[in-house]
Amino acid sequence: MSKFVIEPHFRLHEWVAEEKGYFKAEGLDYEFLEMVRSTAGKIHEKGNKVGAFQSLEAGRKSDVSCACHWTVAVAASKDHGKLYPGCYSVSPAGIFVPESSPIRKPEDLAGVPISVGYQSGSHYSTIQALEQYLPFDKINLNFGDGLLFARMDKLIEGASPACSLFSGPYYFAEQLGFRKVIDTTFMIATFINGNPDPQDVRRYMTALQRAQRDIDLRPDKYNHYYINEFPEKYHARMDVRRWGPGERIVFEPYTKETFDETFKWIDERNIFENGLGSCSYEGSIACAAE
Amino acid sequence: MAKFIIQPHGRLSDFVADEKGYFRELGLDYAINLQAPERNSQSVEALQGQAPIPDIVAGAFESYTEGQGRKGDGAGHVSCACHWTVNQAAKVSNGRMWGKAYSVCEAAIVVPPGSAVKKPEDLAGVDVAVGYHSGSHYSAIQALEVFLRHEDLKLKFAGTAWSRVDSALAGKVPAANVFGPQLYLLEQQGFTRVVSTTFMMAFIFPASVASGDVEAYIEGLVRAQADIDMEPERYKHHFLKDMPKRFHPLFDVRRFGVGERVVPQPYSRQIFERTQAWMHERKLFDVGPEVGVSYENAVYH
Repeated sequence: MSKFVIEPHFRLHEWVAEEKGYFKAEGLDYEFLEMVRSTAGKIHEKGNKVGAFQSLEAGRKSDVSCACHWTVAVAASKDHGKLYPGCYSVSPAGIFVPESSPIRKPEDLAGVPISVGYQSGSHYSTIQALEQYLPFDKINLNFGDGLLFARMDKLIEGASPACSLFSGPYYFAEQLGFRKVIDTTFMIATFINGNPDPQDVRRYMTALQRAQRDIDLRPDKYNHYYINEFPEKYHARMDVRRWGPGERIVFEPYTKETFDETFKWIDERNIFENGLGSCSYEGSIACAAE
Repeated sequence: MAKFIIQPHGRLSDFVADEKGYFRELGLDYAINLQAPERNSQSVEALQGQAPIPDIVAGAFESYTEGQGRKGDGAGHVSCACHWTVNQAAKVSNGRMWGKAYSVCEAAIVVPPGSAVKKPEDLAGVDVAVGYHSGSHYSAIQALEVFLRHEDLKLKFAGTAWSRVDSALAGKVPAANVFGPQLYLLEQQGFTRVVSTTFMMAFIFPASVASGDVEAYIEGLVRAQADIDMEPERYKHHFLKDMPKRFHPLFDVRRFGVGERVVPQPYSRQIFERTQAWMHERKLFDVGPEVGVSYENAVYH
């Protein structure tokens, strides 16, 4: 039997579950496919208009990975894989500007390029947060700075006037003095690639659930795991002990109602030019193991 | 039958569940108690005077002692506080802890604009405003003992969460540990986070309250949480309902985060016992771990 391949999502759970032996206790024969630190963050330099959806479309090398719920739902609807409906996760996110920026409030972002990942969580969540303040034509999204770690580089280098960040990079930006203009906390979903054994998926999730409880009780014990998925060039400047717990997994179902509302929201904003696929919840979700 | 009185906790879920009719669908005849008096707070005179503000050595735990499982006289049938205080209150039989769910809230120690404090180590010997026997008290210790020796950790018992905001805005404390809406408000006033103190909270109710009502209440909150997760922007205005009006001109609630979230996962025996050990190792109460009831009697499942 081949190993169950887990692509971690720059969060604490996988590493806590490994440290505590929860995967092994569940009988999961697994391996991690870590993509950020091992590539010095290059994996997130995708080029203009290439984001999380395109990476799902091209096919990921892991059995299980994550992306924002909007993208996972559409990818599953277009038959690139399946959405795992047994849980979802939520990550703190925000739009950050340099400390010296004249931008103080969301209205000041009118027309300002905001670095987001194309058809990735930051794309949708920035629209969701800013459309309360700005007409659509004043929300100026810059898709050229890449995915999370690539656009964080640009912000730190002073090459980006505003940038949407979540999880570890959110805390790092805060630690470095960047100012959060607005919260853009958003939902993330689990993507199942190919046809892994549903029992393995269940084992994986059970282990993460145990890890989530450990993180809730003593987040201070586990923040050091952020380092495992950060490019090494930043390690000397990071004090992860100051950071929050980041993405959290919610062991509640991703329902048909949520799925349908999500498609309606995406469709109304014309985020996908070539359609949204079947839009069928039943056809898009992975079967849960008993 | 008397109404089931909900004591809100400055979070969105109670008000979203109310807006969506979830509590009624679940058969709850209820009211949300927004009339609880401000207590354990600094007086206007103390905030405006030249002298340092006094310590207020009463907090959430003492409220449960007074209310026998309610958060003080006149408070609701079900309420919430940090899990440390609820744990100990239930242990000494001042109410029963709900064991099938807990909550977690984003929290941080913040300092005002221009502060010389840039990192947690700079807080050595600096007053950090916390609420006595309340989440900010324990979570400040948990977060800061990673950086500082215990003798360098200086806590100022400035009162409730809103009293700490008053104290911070009045310049009466150099640092404050705040959570949820208090944190977001101070951030909009230019305060910056020095260290995250995100912590767990728990639900508690007096032994005389029907557990079925609590079950329905929690189920309503869980449903509301899913709505908030999906589209938080729709619901942030509910923060206003449980925030003193004197603060309203100071912030734009649409910029806030999502605050406290309900987690429908068990508060296990292991968590209960580890938490007891953590509190008593630090001698945070007058009585030791030998005083009180078992996990089974303290925590309702």
